[in-house]
Amino acid sequence: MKGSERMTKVRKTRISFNYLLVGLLVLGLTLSGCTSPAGEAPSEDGEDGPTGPIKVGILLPATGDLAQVGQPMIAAGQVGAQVIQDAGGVLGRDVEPVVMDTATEENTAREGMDQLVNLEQVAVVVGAAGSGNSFAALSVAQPAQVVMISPSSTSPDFTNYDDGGYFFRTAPSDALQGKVMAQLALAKGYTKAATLALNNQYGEAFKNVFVEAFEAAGGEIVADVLYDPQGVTFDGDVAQIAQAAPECVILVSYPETGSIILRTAYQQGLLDTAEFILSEGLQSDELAESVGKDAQGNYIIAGIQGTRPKATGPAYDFFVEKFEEMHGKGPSGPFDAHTYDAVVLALLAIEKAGESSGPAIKEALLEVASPPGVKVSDPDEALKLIREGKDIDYEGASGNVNMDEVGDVLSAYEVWEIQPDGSVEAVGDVVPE
Amino acid sequence: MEPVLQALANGVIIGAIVALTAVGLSLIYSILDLTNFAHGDTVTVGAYAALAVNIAWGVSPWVGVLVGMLVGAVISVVLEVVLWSKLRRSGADRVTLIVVSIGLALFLRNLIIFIYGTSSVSYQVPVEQALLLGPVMLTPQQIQVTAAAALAALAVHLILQYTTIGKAMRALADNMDLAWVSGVNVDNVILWTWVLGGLLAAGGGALYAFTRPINPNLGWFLLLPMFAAIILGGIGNAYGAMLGGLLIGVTQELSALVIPNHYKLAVGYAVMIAILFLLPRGLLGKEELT
Repeated sequence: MKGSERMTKVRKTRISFNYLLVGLLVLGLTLSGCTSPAGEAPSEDGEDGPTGPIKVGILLPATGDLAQVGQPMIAAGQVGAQVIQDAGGVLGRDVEPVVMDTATEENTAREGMDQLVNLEQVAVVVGAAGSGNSFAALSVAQPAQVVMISPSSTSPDFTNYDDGGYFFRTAPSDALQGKVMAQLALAKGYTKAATLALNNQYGEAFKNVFVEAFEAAGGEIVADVLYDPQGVTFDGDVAQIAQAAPECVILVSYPETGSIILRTAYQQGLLDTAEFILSEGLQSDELAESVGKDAQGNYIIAGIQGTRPKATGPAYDFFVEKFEEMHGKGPSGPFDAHTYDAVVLALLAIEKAGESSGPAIKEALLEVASPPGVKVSDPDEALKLIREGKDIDYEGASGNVNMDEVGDVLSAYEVWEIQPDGSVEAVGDVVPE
Repeated sequence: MEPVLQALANGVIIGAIVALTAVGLSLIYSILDLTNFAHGDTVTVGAYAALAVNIAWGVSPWVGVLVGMLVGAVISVVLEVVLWSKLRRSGADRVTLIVVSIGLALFLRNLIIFIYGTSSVSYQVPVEQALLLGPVMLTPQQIQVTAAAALAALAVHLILQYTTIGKAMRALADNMDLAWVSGVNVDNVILWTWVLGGLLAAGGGALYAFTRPINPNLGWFLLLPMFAAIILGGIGNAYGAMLGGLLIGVTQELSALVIPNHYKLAVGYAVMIAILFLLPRGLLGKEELT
């Protein structure tokens, strides 16, 4: 025991200050220590009764590595729900989006899906964003027979995965983008490439497709590094790449870890000696700011290019207009249009199915997304046609969203570039050969 | 660039920061028998205070470091007056104090999350390219940070050796009862120990923010290497804390050459355990008389 205080220590008989304090702090510890996915308060209605609103779960990253990409996606999902709500809702009921944060983490994604399915009793879930998180969430959605539509999970592993028909996506598989990336690198005249990818389902699969395509065309992979998604410094990984002296570096990453890598590459001089080509996971208006400026005040990564699925559906302008109306600015991420389409498709499927159960929705979804049917892009008109009993083929903002029997879509790709002011502009198309 | 020497250089940089921040933890533990789990969050508070000043007012981050240090000292003193002294007076035991410090840690961390969110932030300074200094690559900032840490360590040494208060701190840490009996104003010294610990912890945090983007969990993750450092160096010995910090930092970085990155932290503890088997009182600790 320490301190001069102990010479005058007196044990009080009533409840002393420190017990009260400890009690309060332990309470605070318990409450603040319980991390639960951030989300909106559950609807006052409680259960999803026959007259209550139809709830659409939006399970996307508002925080974490993909925050910069996920936040505009969440906004786009809300636009989709609002547009259908304005058209009268579905099955005569209101539409209510329920947003749940995955924090770009698999456990949080799983818990979030659990909360959406069991607590909120949503009819369908749009999400998750990262492929690893989608696999995690699917492990909860599939046994619960809840349909999941991901707007951005691009891992090729979903194509042959046995999901019982409950997993769909409005984003194309990287089996295509990996090849497109290789095409781009070869078109720029590079024969020696290095890959630096996230060590997760997204990064590894993408990288493998690229490597295969690049080598098949005669290129050489001089370094192949997978980095820790939980890491905070990447000096060693970048140094490893630098030592192999590549002509170009394919970076498959998310904005937060990716920005640290790009900054480290600049510090080590690698940005000057090799051209970095970025995957779509890095496409964000805030990336340039995150990486930083040099001593002259220029963004370090100005001029850097990347690939992404091209969002050019007939509904694109309509979507942008509604997005600006609701949020005061335009969509900015690579998968905003895809999220909008996912929400709209989900709701059209519910109207078509006539009920909000998973097994019915999964059948109806393929019907409304793909031919045969009347081609329609306006959600109002689409709902009208469905109610008249007609077959429709929804063509969305991201593309024609024609899903094949396993729930995959095809897409064209384009090249984007960071401008001197840090914004992102499309600079040309790349068509998969 | 030579990988081993580069790892050594990186290790010295991070080790110097752990060394500085661990000093306060060690002194408080030995003087007050308080395992302060909120010490890591004092580091975080210092870092965020420095960042806030830099981002909001555009001043140099080094001004931010000084501001951060002040904030750290003030918070530590306020907590001592408002919380710790009262708890001690009512006879709170060791476990109670630990639980309180954990609650305090969570409170501070969530306060920062509440104000700043959970995304990473860094100083708004131009990014510099590293200089090739012989076999290693270091940015000018990294060199400045290490120099600042070395200066701070020198200041600590001078305070502990040549000022009355410093000698009193060492006396109290060594043997509380003897110091009290020899007429040392214990309460006064305790206050100054909190000031010193707060300055160093917050300063360490602000320096750390130069090396990588920080998030609110910064201090919590540094806390475990800090504990390892003070145990390794010998509890109650400020020099031991600094030596331990350097050793932990260097071994962690060197280990990344042979084993995957995510096991770095485990290596620090492995080193600590190994030293404890050989020298249970730590490198610079003394024999317990009781």
